[in-house]
Formats: sequence, structure tokens, C-alpha cells
Amino acid sequence: METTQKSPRYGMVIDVDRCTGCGNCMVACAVENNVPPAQAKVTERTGMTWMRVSKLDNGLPFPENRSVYLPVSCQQCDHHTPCQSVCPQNAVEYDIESGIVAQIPVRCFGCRYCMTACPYHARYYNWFDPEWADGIERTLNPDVSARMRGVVEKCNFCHGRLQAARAKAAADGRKTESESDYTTACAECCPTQAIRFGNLADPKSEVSILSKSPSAFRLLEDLGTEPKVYFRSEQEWVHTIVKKTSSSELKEHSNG
Amino acid sequence: MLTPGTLRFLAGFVFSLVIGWFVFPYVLYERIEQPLQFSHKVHTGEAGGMSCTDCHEVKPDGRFTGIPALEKCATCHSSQVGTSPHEKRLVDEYVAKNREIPWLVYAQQPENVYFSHASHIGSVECANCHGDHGSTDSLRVYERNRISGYSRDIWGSSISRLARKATWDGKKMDDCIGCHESRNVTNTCLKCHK
Amino acid sequence: MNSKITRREVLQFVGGSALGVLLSPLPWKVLDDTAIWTQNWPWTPKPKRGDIAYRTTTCTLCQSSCGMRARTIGAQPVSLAGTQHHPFNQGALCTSGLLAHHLRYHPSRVKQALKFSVQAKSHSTLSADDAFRELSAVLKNSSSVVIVDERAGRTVSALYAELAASARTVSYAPVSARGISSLNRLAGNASLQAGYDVDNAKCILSFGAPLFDGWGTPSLAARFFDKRGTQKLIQIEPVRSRTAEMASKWIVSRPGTDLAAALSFAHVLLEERLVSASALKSITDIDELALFLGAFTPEVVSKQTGIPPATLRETARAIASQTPSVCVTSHAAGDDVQDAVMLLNILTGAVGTQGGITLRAEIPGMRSAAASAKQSVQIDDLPDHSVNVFILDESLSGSSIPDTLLQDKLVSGGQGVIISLSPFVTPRPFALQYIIPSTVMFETLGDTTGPFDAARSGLALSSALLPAPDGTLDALQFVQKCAETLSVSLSSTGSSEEILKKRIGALHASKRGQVFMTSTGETTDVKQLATADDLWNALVEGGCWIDEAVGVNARALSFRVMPSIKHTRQTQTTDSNTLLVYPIVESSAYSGKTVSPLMSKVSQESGLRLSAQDAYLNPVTAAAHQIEHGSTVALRTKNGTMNVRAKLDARTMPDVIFVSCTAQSCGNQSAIASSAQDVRLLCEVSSGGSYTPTPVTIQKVYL
Repeated sequence: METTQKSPRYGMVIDVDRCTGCGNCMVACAVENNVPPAQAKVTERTGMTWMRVSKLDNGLPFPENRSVYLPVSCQQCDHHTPCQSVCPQNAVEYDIESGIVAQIPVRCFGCRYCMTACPYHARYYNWFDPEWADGIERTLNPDVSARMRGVVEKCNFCHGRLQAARAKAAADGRKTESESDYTTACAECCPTQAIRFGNLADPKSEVSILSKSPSAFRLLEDLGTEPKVYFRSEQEWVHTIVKKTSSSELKEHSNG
Repeated sequence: MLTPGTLRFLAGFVFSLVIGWFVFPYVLYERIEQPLQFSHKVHTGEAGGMSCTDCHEVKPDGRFTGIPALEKCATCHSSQVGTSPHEKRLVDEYVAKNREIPWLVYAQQPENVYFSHASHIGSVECANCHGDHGSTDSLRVYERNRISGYSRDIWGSSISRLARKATWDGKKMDDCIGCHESRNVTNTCLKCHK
Repeated sequence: MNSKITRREVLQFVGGSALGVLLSPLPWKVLDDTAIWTQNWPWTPKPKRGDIAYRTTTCTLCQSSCGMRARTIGAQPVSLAGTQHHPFNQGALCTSGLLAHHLRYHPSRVKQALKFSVQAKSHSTLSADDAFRELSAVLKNSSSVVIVDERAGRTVSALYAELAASARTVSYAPVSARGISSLNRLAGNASLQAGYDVDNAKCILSFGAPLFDGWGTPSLAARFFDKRGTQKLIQIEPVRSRTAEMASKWIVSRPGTDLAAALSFAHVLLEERLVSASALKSITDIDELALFLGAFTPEVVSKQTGIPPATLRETARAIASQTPSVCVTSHAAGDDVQDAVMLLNILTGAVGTQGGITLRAEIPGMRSAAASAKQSVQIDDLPDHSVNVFILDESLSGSSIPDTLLQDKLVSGGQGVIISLSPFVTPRPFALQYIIPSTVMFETLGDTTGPFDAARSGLALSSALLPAPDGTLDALQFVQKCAETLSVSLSSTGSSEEILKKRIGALHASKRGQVFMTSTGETTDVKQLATADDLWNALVEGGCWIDEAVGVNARALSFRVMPSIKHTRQTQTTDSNTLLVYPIVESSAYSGKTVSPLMSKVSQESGLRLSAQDAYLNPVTAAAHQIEHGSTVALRTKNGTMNVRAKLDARTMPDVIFVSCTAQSCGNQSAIASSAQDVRLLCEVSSGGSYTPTPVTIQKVYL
């Protein structure tokens, strides 16, 4: 993927050794992006979690069993972007100005081909119309529009916040957003600062330095999709398990 | 030459053309009066002496106040300052009761559209999209599409969109894209959708 | 002329029309408009637009009192985040706190006073005036009324205590922060206030306390990680929990054996003379204690706990040598376990030491805690079936007191009454219950004390961003109503703001401590603030007050431990082949039973957290009983049968089924029916109030 020097490529580095699996990122994401709460019939399969914290363990029996938590959202693939290449409706687009893989729910007609194509199971289908308890719709974020039943949606790195940062830049007379004005809800609300967000194209940025460290890895790296979400761990076994894990196993692990 | 059959065919043809081109646009739009009359001319003219940014401002965070809140009106109109019956209604029905004026917004875009005034001001004239709205003496009738619910300003005055009067006549996605293309601005989805 | 129109003629006209219509804008425009129309169903909500602003305030959901910043549209908060650099929470919030702005609109919100029949099978609504009229009769005819205050230290706490002091029939039962009641019990001084100085501890020994999962403030994990290497955490637990995984050392113990383990540590400390002379001197009945602990040798205890004797000895040596050290319990621990663990803290000299359990001075501006403590009672100490009326203040975070305890203390025969100030429906099917609707967060001005996992005491205010719904009361209004009903006059009356201003005024006059201001992000001495209003404004804007490090001299304390410790029984050794059920504490940040509907993300939609309907099973155990992940199983104990969903997890000890101790309702079931089953009830409770691993049979249920 060629990127111009100028345009940023946003990405995340998640320190799994610092992740306590509290779930803050999941709920902060839902609040930010107007993702509705589950109805009574919703299960783990039909749930809507742009960010989902999954458990990854070493497969050994008790008490040798070790585990870490992997907060998995859209991995924002830079290369081949599987979901984008299969969408028959052009509802998925690779945004060259930010590196964000954009999902446009109003354009989507719900064939779910992209969900099949996504190796990370990071896309979610609206099986039901969104339902907020009476009054809670007043707490919705005006920077993000609500979706309806029958369309696919996913993490877009809190794009509403990028738009807000761009508007602020314009008001200040700047051409591009300042990176200090833009971070995702999950990174902001992580109580252990395990999630770091920033511009991977800037060699001096924290994420860029962290992503190049030997402890960094990406999920299903051998598929060559070049995700922009990195993980890091100092624990040897995590690297071993991640290298061995195939896409179907990732799903299995995510169910505990 | 023209058989009665052809005539009947032509009659049907002309009939539906008339319906489609003239009756349909009339029926499609519901004409609604604004809750109050407002003169941009009076406010910005000698009498008012105001500038556009007195009411329509870009905040430091880049957000734009399109239609000012009642609070803004009340700074001058806490009691009647002129003689207009519309002003009397403003004072009596809205300011006194602290009720926001339910203005109908001509340029209101759908919920999934993101538009930042901050990033357009400076490179695009207001009139480019809003026409002479800023110098009008009265508010025109708001035409609401009975099917989609949006203002006629989005589609434009020409029902076929073939005879677009000016850049401000129509604010559909195609219009945005056209303008972006002519100015070499990227057209990625998330640029304008949320 | 023949005026009959033939079919052919019609078709000719229609054909022309059809062609004409296609050449007109009609079909194309209708198609376009219809497409646009389908983007907006009336039931898809449109987020309200408006001016965006940021307001800082304090979270009142638990004692941690985290500083939070609300992003608001108009006055309505639409998202929450921690206040950066806040001294209490360092910018971190917990999952419940992040969703606190939903509670105002929770489906089980009470809008009118409710009266539940004894079986809670039916309820009627009544006006607030009628409710208090009925309550007046109830209170006047009751010989024993107990006010339960689970967040002692607030301004309203002083008024509750005052009310109890003035009315002959009323007692005040404050519920102290975790473990502090043990300190009071062992020291024979009910007015001690203390905090866990975990930041300065060199070694922390945790008996299953979810330290990184809501035990203290949400920033605790980050604070520990940043000190990695210099601080040691030893976690004793039958599950490799999140905390155990990240601890410096995890010791596997059988469930329900914390008491035995704690006593064996005490045994080793005495046996190996690891206790300082001053600590020995502070325990008045040390000889009796030594005699009692003689039975708890590591070799004996090892058989119960499954911890090797050498490990028991090593651990005891660690807390004695790596000082300052502090020992902590989870809040599901009963008094027996808490007392035994507090005994360890006394023996290691942690009480009154920096890095241990720091004693706190009383916050100025409050009625003396010592004075109010004279009238205060502990719920556990009340004789069974002796209470006519419980008044529960559930306005901040609900009640974490087990219903079974309330039931035991209430007069029998369904004659007991519970008056609950609560924002949510909380049916209690064993007493006549009145629910007086209360305000929730963001609707009222209130004060809250600082976190218990900090050395110094603190105080913060939460501000009313939104108007309180009609008919709701906050705690300060409620206590005045109760006083009125009982014809008692209180020293502070008036609006909540007036009462709180009085307290803040007194705090300012004391010139003590420091104040953190959100406007500057800096901390200043209270002395520097010219007027009480300056302090008030700093607090209303989401700042906080922190006390000076003025501890009570611990050397002045003496402890008589045996009356509490001797009650502890030896834990039964169960046959290791018996299948057991045991509750574990998962996320415990907010003890309230009612949480935002969006909490479904972390339980129902992802399985990240154990819900009230789930149970953890070791895969080996599951295989032995032919149970798969996700299947529904019936658990049967002496106490009854309940259906749960099996979740296979190799982090849990085999032959034990772990159920959640912190079942919460996110409200996607109907409000009244949401009193989701309480799986804890399957387990037996020891006389000390701890859950006991209980034999259980498991059977797969085919639905």
C-alpha cells in the first residue's frame, strides 16, 4: 500500500499485558457510536460490538492455563482490505486520507459478504432495529447517525471524532487535523492506557515507535492484509499462540 | 393521417406528460409557511446594522451555529423594538414564553450527512449554496417533499434537475460531488457521511 | 354517436400515458424520494443536535468518587470520561461509571412511590404524600427502626445519625468501607476511619480481592503496572482471575478456605516471631490468641486449602519482611474472614502505617463521628427477628446487603417493613416494602467521600446537570421528610444546597487539606482560598478536597481480638470428589443491581463477563458431566434448583462451579420481573457471613 508522505495513517497499538479485560472500551465505543443495547433475544452471535474483548489462552489445563485479553475491533487492513474487495455495493471504501476502512451503512443492502470475507470477525449485522429504552435516545451522540435493521456496521476509528477534529482545524485555519484533537473513545476510556491511538505514518509518533518494537504483533499476519491495529506483549506464549492461530480458531477463542 | 387510435394514444401521452411535469411537482411538495417572517435585509441594512457573523458563527471547536437560538433574538427583542406584527409575535409567542422558534431549515441535510461549514468558509462563498438568502426581505414558503420529508432546496427548483439555475439550486449528493471534483477535493464517503 | 368506450380505446390511452409518464420526471423522482424515505424509519432515533459543552462533576455510584467529564448537548450528558489528573481516579472510570448517564432513563426507574405486598407479587402506586402518611403510621407503631447507611461519611449520614439519636425507637447502622468495620470491631472503637494505602505498600496480599477489577478506584491496575517491579502482589484464589493473572504471584487455594489460610499466616507470624514487639503489645489478649492459633499449623491448614505448607510459610514471611505490607479481602468475604485478615494487618504492623492501613482524621464540618457512633449499630450484631422497619438509602448505588440478612433481622411472619429510597424497582419478596422514588446521578447536588484505597480521606460534590423528575427526593430531602414524620427536628434543614454549603463552609473554616480544581488541573491548599464560595465552586465544578496526612496515632490503639476470632470455625474439609458451587466476585466496581442497558455489551453480547445466568466450569469437569460450552444446566443444592448457562473456562478450579456474586440487571427484561435469579442463594452462608462452597449436583437441561 503506497501512502503519500502527507496523509496520516491512523492506527492502534494495544498492550495486551496491560489489558485487564474490564470492558470499558466496549461500552465507550457503543456510547460514542450510538450502538444500541441488546434486546432480550440477542446472544453472543448476534450481539453488536464494534469493539469486542476476547480471551486468548495458552490451551493448557488448570492451573497452568494462562490467558490474556485481546480487544478486537476492525483491524483496518491496508492491503487487499478483504471486506472492501468483496462488497458488491461500494459500501466499503478505503479512505486514502486517513487509512480508515469506511463502512457506509446507508449504502449497504445487507448481503453480509463482507462479514464472511473479514478474517477478524469484526463486522456486525443489524439483526434487529435499534431500540433504546424510552429517554435514552436523548443521550445519543449527534456526530454519528443511528443505523437500522438489515445493514452491516463496524468500527471506523470513531470517525465522527476525526470530522470534529478536522472542523476544529478549519476553524483555526489549519489544513489538517491536529493529532492531539483526535483519539478514539476506546483509547480515551481505557483505564490502564493499554490502547494507544495515533498516526502510524509519522515515524516519531508513539504508535509508530511501539508498532516497530519486537514485542509488537498483528493478528493473522500471514494473510498479508496489513492491519493497522497492532498488539504487543512481552509474554512469549502470547506470540506463539497468535502465530499458530488461524482465523477460525480466533473465533473459537473469542468465545472463551 | 392520425387515426383515432393514435389520437387516443397521443392524448394519453400528453395527459401523463402534463401530470408528470406540472401536476406532480405541485402535488409532491407541501407548501408550509415559516412560523415567523424574517427579513435579512432589515437586520443587515441600516436599521439593524448587523453582520452575518452576529448570528451565524463558527465556534472555536469548528461547529457552526446555523440558525441562532432564541437567546440570540432575545438580546435585542426582549421587548418590541419595531412595529412589525411578526416582531410582536416573536416577542409575545416565543421570547416571552421562552419557546424556541420552530424554523424550517431550507438546506437541512439527511441525518447521515456530515457537513462542516468551518471547512468550506473561506474557499466557498455563502451564496454558492445559499443563493441570495442573506439579502432577502422575507422568508419564502418552505416546500416539503411529501415522500422523503426533505426540503425542495435539496433537489432544486427544476423537477428534472436539467435546468439548474445556479450552484445554489439543488444540494443533492451529486451537487456536492460535482463541486468537490471541480475543486480537486477528494470524494471519499466518510468525508461527508457520518 | 356511440359513447361507449371500448377496451381497446382505454388501452390506447393507457399506452400513451405509460410512455408519457416514462418521459416525465414522475417515476424517477418517486423512485429517488422513496429510496431516501427508506433511510429514515420513524423508529430510528435521530440524535438531538445542540450546543456541545463539557462539564466536570463527580461520579457517585461508589465510594471511589471518580472525577468525570461529561460531554453535554444542551444540559444532557451524552458521553462520559474521567477527569484528567484527578487525584482520586487519575482520569480512569469503570464500565458502570461510563454509562452512568443512562441511569436516569433506566426502564426500571421508579417514577411514583410504590407499595409492594409481602410476597412482592403485586404492587400499587401512591402519591408521595400518601406514602409518607402511611409511613408515619408504620414508623409510629414500630418499636425498632433501623436506618441503614451504606455510604457513611456523607452529610446526610450525620443527619441520619442525628435522627436516630433523637428518636427513641430508631437506630443508625452505618456500613463501613471494606474491612474497616473489622478494624473497629477488633479495636473496640466504632469511630475509626481508615483507608488502604495500597500505593505505598511494598507487598499486597489479596484474599481473592478483585484488585484490578473494581475493588478500589478504576485506576488501581494502572497504578500497579506503573510501579511494576517495586511492588509485589500475592493473590490467593481458586480462579486464575484477571487480578491473579497479573499478580506477581498466584497461589491456588480451594474455595472458601481464606479464613484458614489467614489464620495459618497468623500462626506462622507468631511461631517464627515475625511480629514486632509493639504489635504484640497492642493486642491485649495475645496469649489467648497464640493458644487459639496453635491449631492452625501450615501442615493442618494445607490439607484444607490445598496450599503447600512451604508456600504458606513463605507467604507469611513475605508479608512480615516486605513491609510496608497490607492484606485485603474481597467484599464478598464475611466478617469472619475480614476479621482474620485484619488480624494479619495488626500483626504485621500495617495498621496506622504508611503503605498499610492509614488511620484518617475526621473530615471537618461533620458532627463528630464518635458522637454518632455511640448510637450506631452493626446490622450483624442485631438479634434475629428484632427489627420492625429497615430504612434503606439506595439512592446512590443500591444496597449490597444480602436480602437474606435483612430477612433474618426483620420480625418474622411477614410483619417486617422495608422503606427504600431508591431510583429503581427493587422487589424484596419477604417484607411489605415501600419504595420512595429517588434522584439518580446528574439530577442532584450531593456529597461523597473519597476512595478507600487511598491514604487520605477526601470529599467531592456531584452537581445537578439535569432537573430532578417530579416526585423524586434526594437523600437530604428524604431524611428531612423522615424527621418530619417522626416529629424530630434536625440541626440542618433546608434545601440540599443550603445544607451542603454549611458543611463546605465549615471545611473551609478549618483551613485543612488541599483542593483539586478542574479549571486549572492543579491542587491548592484550602488556606489559599479566600472565601468558602471559592471552595464550594471548586467542588461543584468537579474538583475534590483531600485531607492532610493527619493520621491518628496507631500506637494509641489496642486490640482485643479473641471475641471476634474465636467464633471462627475450622473450615470443613470436603471430600475432594464432591462437586461444589461457589460465588466469585467479578467486576465489583459498582455494587448497584441496576446498570445501564448498554452493559449488555460486556455480558449478554460478548460473554466477557459472567452474568446472573452464567456459571464457570472447568472443561475437565464439564467433560466428566457431558456438558458443552453454552449448554443450559440445572444446579441443585439443599437451597434449591436454578438453571444457568455453562461457560467452560480452564482458568477455574476443577470440580467447582463458579457463579457470579455481582448479578446486575441491565433492564432488557421487564422492569418488575428483572429481579433476576440470585444464584448466590444456592450457596450456604457461614455464621460469619461468608459464602461456603456448597455441594451441588449438575444436570444438563434440554430446552
